[in-house]
Amino acid sequence: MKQNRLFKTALIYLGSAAFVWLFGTVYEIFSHGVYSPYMIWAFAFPLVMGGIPFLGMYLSCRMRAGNNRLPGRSGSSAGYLWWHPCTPAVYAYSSGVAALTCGSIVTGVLEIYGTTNRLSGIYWICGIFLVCAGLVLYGIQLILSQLARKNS
Amino acid sequence: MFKKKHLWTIIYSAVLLAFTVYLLLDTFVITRVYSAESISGGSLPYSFSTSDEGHSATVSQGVPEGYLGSSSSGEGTAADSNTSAASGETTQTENTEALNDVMVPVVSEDSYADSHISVTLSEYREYDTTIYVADVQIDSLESLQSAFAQGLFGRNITAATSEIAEENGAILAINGDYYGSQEKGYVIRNGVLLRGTSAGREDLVIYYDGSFGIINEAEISAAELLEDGAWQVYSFGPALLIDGDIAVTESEEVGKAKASNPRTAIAIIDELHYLFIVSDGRTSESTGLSLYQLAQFIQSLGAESAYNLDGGGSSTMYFNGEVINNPTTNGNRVSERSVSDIIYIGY
Repeated sequence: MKQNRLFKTALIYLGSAAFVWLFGTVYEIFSHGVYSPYMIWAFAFPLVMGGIPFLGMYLSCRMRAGNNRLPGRSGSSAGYLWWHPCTPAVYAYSSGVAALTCGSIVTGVLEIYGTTNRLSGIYWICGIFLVCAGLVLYGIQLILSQLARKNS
Repeated sequence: MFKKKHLWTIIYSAVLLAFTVYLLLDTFVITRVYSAESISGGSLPYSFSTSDEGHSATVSQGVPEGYLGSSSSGEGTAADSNTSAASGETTQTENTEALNDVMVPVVSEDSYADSHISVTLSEYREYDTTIYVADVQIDSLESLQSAFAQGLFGRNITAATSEIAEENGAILAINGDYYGSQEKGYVIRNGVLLRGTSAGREDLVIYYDGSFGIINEAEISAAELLEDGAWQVYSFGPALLIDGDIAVTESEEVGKAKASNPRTAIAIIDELHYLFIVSDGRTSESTGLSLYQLAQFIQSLGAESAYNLDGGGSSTMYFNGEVINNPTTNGNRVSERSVSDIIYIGY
């Protein structure tokens, strides 16, 4: 994943976290004093699981490469490091974070209303599964990249 | 390139959105009619009428013979309770006839009295909130009933408290525990077990002898409650008073009821002597009550046990054909919220 793509992904996560935080705050204001931790903390999923890691990766990349292209690399591949997550891993991981965030908001809505729905558990199952799938794909990518580097 | 690059995002977002919409519809809109759970022993020994669609309609077992009070005016007490409540022996027809033999009721704006039922309405002003209290004295537990919206047991089947009360000829009614918004929690109404799935909540049990009991669903099954003589079981909570003592703390952390809100509660003074309590809230005229304030108030009325029912926009008291309080959901408009069940006094 290229450096600028990392930054774009981090921005999307941070923007999502801000939106979810705003939504949760406004919802709680109109909930007549009934609070739900799921609604209050829903923004933590995109922030902690997405915004911070991807921003960290981007900043780490910038610190290593500076503002110039990486030595020994062509301009077309500038800003790409072997440990940047591949697209499939990012898609799976992001899908999981989206499911967890959605699940937290929906559970908060149900809790504030004072009801339950057995289907809400599907968010958590799918979210955790997709996050794990993303991490596994990333792990495989790292291993293969390391092997390729050793052989080259 | 654009399409391939964003295809997964578009498809996944669409699936997530569709699932969320379906879940919200399933929770708040789609109606489901449930069948009553049968207890051990096979066929239901109740007057259990069904609609044309084969679903449950109004149900009632009728209070067993040993628990019915005298039909004489003013002295109604539960008869000797030697008869087991689970015996299934009912004399509903005979006692209905006895209950029908009532004197012409004396009705005023804030009272109702006949030979079997006495209701006196009072209005209080406490904690910047208007509180309505109906003092109820009956001589037979059959006068304390539950009813469902549209006569059906299920989810998202709702109607206004006044509408349900009118359909059932209620003299006095309050909203119940809104069982229909929950997937779990014991539901026993008029002696019929309708749902026995535990939600781990603190329930109110009204036994055949008219007494109150507070139980925890995790400690006793619904079937055992039925065998113990449960006439009505409500699953909302928490208990406000137990044996005259306040059972909630000032900072009671109940997920659905932390702040000042409209409230509904039911309490027992002594044998077949109850209080139905509804408070206004969420308006400039009435701020509402916390659970502790509600418990304190009911304690001041001399109640032995009290239990919190569904509050907020659901809180409604109906008496002699009129809604007495000012039900509101958001504080801007006075209007009844549709609920799934009521508790009422009537024949």
